[in-house]
Amino acid sequence: MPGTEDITGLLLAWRGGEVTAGHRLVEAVYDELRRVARRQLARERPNHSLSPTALVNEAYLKLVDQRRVQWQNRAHFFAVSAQLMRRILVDHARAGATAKRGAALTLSLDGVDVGIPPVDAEILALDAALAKLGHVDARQSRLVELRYFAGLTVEETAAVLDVAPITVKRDWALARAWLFRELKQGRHEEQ
Amino acid sequence: MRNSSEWERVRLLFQAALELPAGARESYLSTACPDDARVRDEVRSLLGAHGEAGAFLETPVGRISAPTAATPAFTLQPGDRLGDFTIVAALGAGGMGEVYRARDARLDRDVAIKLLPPALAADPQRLARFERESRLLASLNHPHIGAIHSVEHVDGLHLLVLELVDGSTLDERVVGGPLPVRDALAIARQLTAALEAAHERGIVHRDLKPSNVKLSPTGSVKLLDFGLAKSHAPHDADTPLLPAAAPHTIEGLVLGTCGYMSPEQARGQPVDRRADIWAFGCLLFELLSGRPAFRGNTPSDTIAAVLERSPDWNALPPELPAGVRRLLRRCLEKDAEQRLHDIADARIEIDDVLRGEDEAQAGPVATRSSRRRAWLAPIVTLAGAVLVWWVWTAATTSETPLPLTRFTWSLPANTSLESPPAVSPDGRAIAFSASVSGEPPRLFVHEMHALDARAIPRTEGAKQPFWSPDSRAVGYFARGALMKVAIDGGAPVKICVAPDGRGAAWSPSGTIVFSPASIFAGLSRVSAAGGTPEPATLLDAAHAENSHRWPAFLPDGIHFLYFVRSVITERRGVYVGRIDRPASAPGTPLFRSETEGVYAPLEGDGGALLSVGAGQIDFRPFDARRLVLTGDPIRLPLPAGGNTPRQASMLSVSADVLAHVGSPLPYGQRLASIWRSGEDLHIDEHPGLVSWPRLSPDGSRLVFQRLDPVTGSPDLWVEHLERHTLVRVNQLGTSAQLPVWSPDGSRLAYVAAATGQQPALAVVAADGTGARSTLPCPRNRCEPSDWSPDGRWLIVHAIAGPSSDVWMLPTREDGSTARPLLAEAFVERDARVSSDGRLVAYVSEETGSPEISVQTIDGLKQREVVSAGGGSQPVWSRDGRELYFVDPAGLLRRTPVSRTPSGRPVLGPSTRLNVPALGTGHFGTQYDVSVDGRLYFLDRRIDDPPRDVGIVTGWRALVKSALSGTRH
Repeated sequence: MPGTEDITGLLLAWRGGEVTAGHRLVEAVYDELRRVARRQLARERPNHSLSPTALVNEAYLKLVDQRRVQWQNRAHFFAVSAQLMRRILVDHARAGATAKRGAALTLSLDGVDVGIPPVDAEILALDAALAKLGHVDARQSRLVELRYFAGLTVEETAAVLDVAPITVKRDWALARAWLFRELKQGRHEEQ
Repeated sequence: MRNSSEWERVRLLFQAALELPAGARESYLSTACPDDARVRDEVRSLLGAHGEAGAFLETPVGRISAPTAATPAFTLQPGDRLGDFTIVAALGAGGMGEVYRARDARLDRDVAIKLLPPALAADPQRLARFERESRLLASLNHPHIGAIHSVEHVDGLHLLVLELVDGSTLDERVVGGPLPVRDALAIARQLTAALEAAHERGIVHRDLKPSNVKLSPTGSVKLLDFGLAKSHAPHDADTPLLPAAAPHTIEGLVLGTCGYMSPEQARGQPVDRRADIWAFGCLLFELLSGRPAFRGNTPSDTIAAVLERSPDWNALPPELPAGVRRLLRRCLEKDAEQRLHDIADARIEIDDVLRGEDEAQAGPVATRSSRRRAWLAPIVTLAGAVLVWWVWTAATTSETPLPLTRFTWSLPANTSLESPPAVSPDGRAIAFSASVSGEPPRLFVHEMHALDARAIPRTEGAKQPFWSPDSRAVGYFARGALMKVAIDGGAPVKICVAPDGRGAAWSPSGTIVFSPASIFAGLSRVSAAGGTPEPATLLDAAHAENSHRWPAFLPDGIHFLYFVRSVITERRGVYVGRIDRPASAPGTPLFRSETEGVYAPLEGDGGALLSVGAGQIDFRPFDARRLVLTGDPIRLPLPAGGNTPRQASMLSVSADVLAHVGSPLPYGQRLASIWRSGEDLHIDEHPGLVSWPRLSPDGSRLVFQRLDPVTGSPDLWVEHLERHTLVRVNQLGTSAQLPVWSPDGSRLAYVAAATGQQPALAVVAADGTGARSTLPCPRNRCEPSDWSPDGRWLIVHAIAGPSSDVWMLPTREDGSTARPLLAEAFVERDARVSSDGRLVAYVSEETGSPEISVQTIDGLKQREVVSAGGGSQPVWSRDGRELYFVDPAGLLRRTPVSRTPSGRPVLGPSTRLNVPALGTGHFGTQYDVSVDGRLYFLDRRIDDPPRDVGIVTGWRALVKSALSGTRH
């Protein structure tokens, strides 16, 4: 596990323009998130829900030395959080998909139910489609993460991506159309 | 897509086409992209998908808390104006919004303004909820809860206007290590009172922690951010792990030091008041041990500690009373079901411990352990103590005047001053009355050489202390009597009756001159050994005087100064009287003044009169033998509060020591109204003392008595609630008490009194036109409580000696005669008739303490006791189906009243109303209820009393420099 300094360093490097630092950051935070979740599980009764937002917040803040990080640019927090939310939800859906049909979805994040509204296997398909979209247009993929997984408004998303809200609206329309078509095609292929 | 330029083309075409009507898109595509069929197909396909996609992905699966401000870059700058507010300085910023210090021009006070975070202000649902809760919280009138003054919308900004609380937060305080047990308990005691008041109204703080508790510089505890936590949570509430607000607030992402979060909060379960009790336990633990009860290196470690570990009980101080340990364990019970259920139990436990310590500490100062030091230790610094010791030593060993020295005693947080300080004639001690943790006031004596003030036992209710000439005893008023007590021990002794004293002075020859009552009383004199009081001064009705008060002896012990209060401005001032010659005040005062004077000896034969003027001390050279002023007044640069209807000026003086307090003691009651649901509190600012609010039968007007703070005139005012007009209905210079409306709302009956006259039952037109008549009273005194719905009878409380019954007096000349309605052997009073005229509710004292009874008015003795455990101030709802009353704790309750077919009343269980406590012990009824359930009541909340007592030794040097200053 990287120490706090490492994480903060990664964040600073990322802000400095080092793209891979962002990926490593998410990985590190996600690792910590799994640890947090495991600890929660270890002392909790079953059937207990943890909030994914809370998990993300806690994991992230634990790892980032707040004194060294300027928060003028909130893009980083949201970008990391949005990606983490995506990871959690996808893992949750994956765990649910591998569970026996009809069994309660209690396993994800190493066995902690993260209190997510029942999300069906569509999320896995969405995740795959989003990965594909990311290859075509990375900004579109980030936009979907921010809007759909992190629940940001158009204005918030615009601020994070540093574009005009109208651009977000237009891009969002395109991304939705693109993903909708992709998922529809995927279903046809399955049938 | 093969490459990014192709995708870019698709993107632009798609987005441009989307702006067009569906029918125009195809031709646009052909025109805009004539050369690439594949791109056109792709765009077409995506447009089709867009048409089908509906709400696809429109509902997010997650929600990351939105940030509020990029940095603590403040929206407002000092000098910016928002309506009536002028920004003074930025105080802080965080997820809960930006906070500023601002000046409120309307009320001429400084306030804190919280600018709501845009995320909250932009969400109408959350905003509405926030405003609703803020209004409820604004009704939480409690001295230990930071008040919410209002919610305002100014220039498109949403502001929360809060009481400005200066001082440090508790977390800054505990950095210095554990607090002395006594101090910690004193703080905890105030917190329990605050939580109790909130919990009673169903309000849970949710985020109690040291940084939300403020200690004012003078030591008073204020709990901040009450209950706002909930409003700040997004309504989708996807944040169960998070405490609602926290110091580590980043970008609106709120994440707490989880150390005060209850286990159920940490689990994301619903939270109730037991979460506050848990947090209270954490806080008390931390105060006593100097370390958090639950701590981890990371938030998750801390949560783990909260959920599974016990606090380190060994960290608590060894001398901590067992009761407090037990209390902590009960508060920090992880299972909420097993936890202390009611914060009042914590208060009681702490009170018991504090009381026990009082008894344990009754010994001399030196034997006390240093740990339990000086809980009522006004001396601010050790240096101050040394100084006082030195000054005192100098005073007792030398004839030379004391050097000029100024220092300040600050009363501790849980103690509120209830009287001006009184300096003993020998200058070695100061007596004052103070209330500790809301208990009844007691007498305290602070000897200059001692580190702390000590309570004089059995002096509950003491007010207005004054010294014996030998400085060995203190006289005071308590519970309707003039009292004295030796400061070195011994039981208090009653000197004589004094219903509601307004100052006293003790002459060298052993005569006490005192003001026995607050209105229509001249001064009386009595031997300090006891006896029957005799008049010392006579009120002059011709000059519309209503009180002589605040006497002070001159050096001959025969003449005394006193203050005359009158509705005539020129008459108010300081006069000289003689104990051996009861007389009216002379034609002209020594000097015109709104405050009283005290005599101070100067060096040699000189003397001076000191009084308070414009918030400072005025000094007038005075020849005590010739009884004349010998020079112009000089203003000394010492702040002092002037007198109030209840208290003398905040100034006391001996030859060498002067004590002063910079502001007057708060007094009075404000008229407030609130829907009975507890919403929409409205407070009318009527300066002065307000009593007996009563609604007209149609609900359009409110009558109440208001005592003018300057003239002392107790007038009856009728306020039109819609037009906001005020009309005085009594004659100026007379007093009007206990008003009762006639059923048609045209007249008011009340007790009229005036200087030199017996109180009488008066009836006057309610429109202020002045038509006035009197009703004969069959006994010594009659106090109206109701008017029968048919208009024929005035219901009165008729008093003759020990007998006290309810009578019906005819209001029309139809041949009816007065007759008793309730005339048992015990006291019956405050009778109220239901709107159908069939039932009467009243206060009975059969058991010795007041209870509320209801019975049919036709004389059948079917009495039902409403208030198990006691009650007073019965008021019927306008439909007669409910009876309101005040329980012994001062809380307003109501009980449903139905009737059997035979008309016998049947009472349901009573429930508490969600309004501030009204208090008990009132004379008459201090609230009323409108037909639609709006409650009018006297809001007893008053501002924090001043806590800093300024002491000046060798004060006469100030006069010298002031005199030389005027000569230059």
